[in-house]
Amino acid sequence: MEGRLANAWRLTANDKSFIRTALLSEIRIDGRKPYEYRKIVVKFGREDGSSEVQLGQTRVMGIVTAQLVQPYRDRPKEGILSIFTEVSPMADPSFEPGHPGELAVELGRIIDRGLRESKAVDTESLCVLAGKFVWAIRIDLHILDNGGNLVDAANIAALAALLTFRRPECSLGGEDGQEVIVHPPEIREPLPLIVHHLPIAITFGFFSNDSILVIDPTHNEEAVMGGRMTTTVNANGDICAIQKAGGEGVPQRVIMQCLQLATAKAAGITKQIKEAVEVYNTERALRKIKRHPTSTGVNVKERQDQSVGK
Amino acid sequence: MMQVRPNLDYEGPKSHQHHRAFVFGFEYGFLKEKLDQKEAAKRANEQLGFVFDIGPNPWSKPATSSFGCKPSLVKMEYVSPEGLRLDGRRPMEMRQIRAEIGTVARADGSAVFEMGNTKVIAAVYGPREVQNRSQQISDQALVRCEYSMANFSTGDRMRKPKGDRRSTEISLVIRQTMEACILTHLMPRSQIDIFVQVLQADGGTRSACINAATLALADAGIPMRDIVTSCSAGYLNSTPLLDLNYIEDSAGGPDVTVGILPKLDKVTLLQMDAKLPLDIFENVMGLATEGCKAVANYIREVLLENTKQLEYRRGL
Repeated sequence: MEGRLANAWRLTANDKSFIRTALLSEIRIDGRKPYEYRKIVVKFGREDGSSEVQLGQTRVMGIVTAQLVQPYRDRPKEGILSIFTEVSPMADPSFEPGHPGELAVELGRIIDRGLRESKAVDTESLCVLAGKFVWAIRIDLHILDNGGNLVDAANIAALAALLTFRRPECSLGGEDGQEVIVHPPEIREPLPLIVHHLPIAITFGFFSNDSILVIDPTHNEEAVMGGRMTTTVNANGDICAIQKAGGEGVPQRVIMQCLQLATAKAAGITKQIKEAVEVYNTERALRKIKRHPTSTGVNVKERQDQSVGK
Repeated sequence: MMQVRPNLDYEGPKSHQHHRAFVFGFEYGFLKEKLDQKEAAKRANEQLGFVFDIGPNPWSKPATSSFGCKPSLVKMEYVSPEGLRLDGRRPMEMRQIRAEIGTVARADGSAVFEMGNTKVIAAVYGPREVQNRSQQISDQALVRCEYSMANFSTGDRMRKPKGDRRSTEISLVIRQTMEACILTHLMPRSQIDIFVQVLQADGGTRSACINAATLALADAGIPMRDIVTSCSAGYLNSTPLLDLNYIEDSAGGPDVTVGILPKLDKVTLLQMDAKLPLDIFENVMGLATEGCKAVANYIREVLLENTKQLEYRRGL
């Protein structure tokens, strides 16, 4: 059971009423329209499978690692996908250091459901030796800055990291083909994961008035809103997951409206992620080509003349 | 030699490798360790004379076709051709509901709620003084909730009944759902504790917990805007099914849990996993909402009956 902490940040009454009144005229405090998303910036690190996503003020980092483990007993031919979230007080003073709070657990589970249940990542291809060795993919999400709407940013970070992750290639060897040899990346090019589709999480905020609905709430709006709903949809129009954990009640037609909005937004965000991944892949390929140190042609004679001439 | 026997124990959750053929009520349990799929299918063919054809795993197909099982695949029958489900219900039929109020004498309000084989007990303490002063809210009541599953509630003994991520999430979900309907501003600086424990788990535990919590809150006399009722629905074999049990839930198909405020006709809780196209989702959600309304009618009856009993005991 988690109560609210003493150092939980609370918005002043004036700020709250200002946000509410502004929303009645469809104005949000950061100048966006109610159905407008903040700017998304996807950056990648040097390693394969590390991404940093900035959604307005919110920053989340995602890192993907893989390990060979024994599969679950009832699924001997499938790989394992697990998601871990780290929230530190650096991102928001109301986060407790160490033990993950309810928010972190809910965040992890929403993204987990969106990726795992909708079969976005192909786990069957992660099987190396049925019943003995499979790849366990671990996604670590680090919340760096809480500017509101952590779920969406963390989801994009997880997807970007998964798309750029490369797992080492391995082959079976040994006397009876039961040994697994993992090839280092220098010998054999590591392989990307098979991702069937990209489930994008889109969060809506509901306010006490039925007709007020915002997409991508900021930190301040989250303190004011009565309820939230996170819908995970993909660009094909399938709904992968929905999470509306209580909060303000909304009529069914509003939910259907949200889903339609989400499907429209998902296409745009999917395109953005894919473009960023493309840029990273080209850059990575270029990095591979340069095997020798850059040697630009230096005209030795010119240099000599210059030094002599001085 | 494989034997035909009714297999009533289900090994493990959500197993796609668990292939069963549903033939007139009997089940073949394919021994996973000893035979692989092809071997087992071959033996079934020999024994029965049916033709099973195993193709590639249906779930490894790309996302474009959400529900197109090839006709040659082993069909997992959750709805038989006559339209009956595994436990003999029709697709739109709910399991039997039973509720009892006032089972925990010590608590301010308590209830036991059963949906088929799922049995849940809820106890409410409050409004009472906030135990941790730092968490006190000056203009509202603090609502806390704890969800736990008894060790003996599932087939295999559970190692960690609470504190794991699923329990934390469900506790959060139940708390926020009940918070939306309790009139917390009438009880500032106080605390309302909701404890829910699952005694028997057979699918739909979340819904049963919310229904039990509603009854317990009503029994405790805590002012609420409206009762909250919840029900789940799924989509298997191209049929929307109401009130999934454990087998249907672990089939890997979509599972939609809806919680509504019946009089206000508003949706408070909505959770869905696995993929569904938008139009089918609308149907399934509508079906779950109808189920919620049926539960709401039953809960109202139970509460009325309880009030009559109280009046009778007071000599009115």
